[in-house]
This record gives sequence, C-alpha cells and structure tokens, in this order.
Amino acid sequence: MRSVAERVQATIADKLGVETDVVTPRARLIEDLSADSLDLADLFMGLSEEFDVPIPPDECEALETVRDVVRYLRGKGVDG
Amino acid sequence: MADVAAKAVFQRERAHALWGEIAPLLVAHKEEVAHYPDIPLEPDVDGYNRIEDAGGVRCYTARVAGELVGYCVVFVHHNLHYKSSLQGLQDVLFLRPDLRASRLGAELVRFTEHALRPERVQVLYQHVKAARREGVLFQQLGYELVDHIWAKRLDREEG
Repeated sequence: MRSVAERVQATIADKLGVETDVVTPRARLIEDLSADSLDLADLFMGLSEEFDVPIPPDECEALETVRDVVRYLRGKGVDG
Repeated sequence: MADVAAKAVFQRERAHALWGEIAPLLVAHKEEVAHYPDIPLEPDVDGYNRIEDAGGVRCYTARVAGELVGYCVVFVHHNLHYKSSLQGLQDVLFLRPDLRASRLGAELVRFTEHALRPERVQVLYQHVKAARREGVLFQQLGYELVDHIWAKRLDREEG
C-alpha cells in the first residue's frame, strides 16, 4: 500500500503535469511546480477525491509546499 | 506571488468612474478569450451607465498598490421567470494574467458573493468560455454546472 506522501506526490504530478521526481517534500506548488490558481483548484479537488477529505478553499491557501499538503491531510486523519 | 492576494484591495466601484482605467484590461480580456475575434470590442458605455443608474449592475474590482488588476461585473435583476428571485449574472470577470498564480481570482469571486448576499441575491451565475478551464475554480468555490450555451453565426453561410 502506498503512503500518504506517495499518493500526494502522484496526484500532484498528475494534476500539474510534472514528473514525480520534482514533487519533493520541499517543492512549492506555485513557485517550483508552476501551478496557477486553476491548477491549484483542480489539484485540491483531486486530493479531496483521492483521500475522501473535504478541503475548503480557505484552508488551501496555507498549503504552499508538498510537505504542507501531506501534513494537512494527516491532520485530517488520513493514515499512511 | 501567493502573498499578492493578501495585498489586494477588493471593492465595489462605479462603472461611470472606471471606464478610462478599465479600457486596457477590456482589450486584453477580449484578445484572450473572444470566441469571435472579428467582432470588434465596442463597450456601450452609455448603456452600462444607464443600467448602473437604474441599479442593475455592480462592478467589483481588485486593486494592487492602487492599480486596477481585475474586475467582476454582475448584472442584478429579478428573474423574469421567477420574479420574486433576485439573481446575479456575471457579465465579465478578468484578472491580469501575471497575477493568476495567486488566490486573487478566487478572492475576487468570493468578494463578489459576499457583496451580493446582503442584497438578498439568491443565485449568482458565472459563465466560462467552453474552451477555457476556469470552471474548475468555480467548482472548487461551490458552484454547480447548470447550463451549456451554444452559439451559431448567422452572418455566415451555412457549411
């Protein structure tokens, strides 16, 4: 079974159209992975679906890096 | 870039006072999204001003360091089919392309919603060109897809 971090990495790579090896924990979604606001909307809806966790737009704003996303999901009770 | 949304000022402004400043953005907007680029951009300034004077249009703007960087213009009217229902219909929504890596666009939409709620606007309709992907932003903000709009040029020979 893949870990939360691996699933986040795969979802980000898929939604942002980047290779998984650039989706490192420290990678910033906007500055390093070139996400714009529409990419982010699509990404967070994809993550919400992948993990079956609601991600309100207000809470997305604080998620700047891949690591932030993983921590956020773990904080929501996602295991792995 | 992400911080730019925090620095932006959102407000309602009078259409009457915006025309000079908004014109370059309208041109850029038209060049980016117009489905029929051969139809010239000719905003009916007097028409908008009249509708505004009659209370039928709202212009919500985003400014960064005082500079106009985006707008959301909404027509507000009682629906002719459901006359007790006050509804908003987005006319134009635009954010300067260099600021789209921020949450500024989403914040402008949410500001528009917050401004219209106290007026008892029951439904806000946002439209998106079929070839574009802004729908994903509206979906994230809680909108649902309710209509498709089809267009056909009647000034051209049928193929």
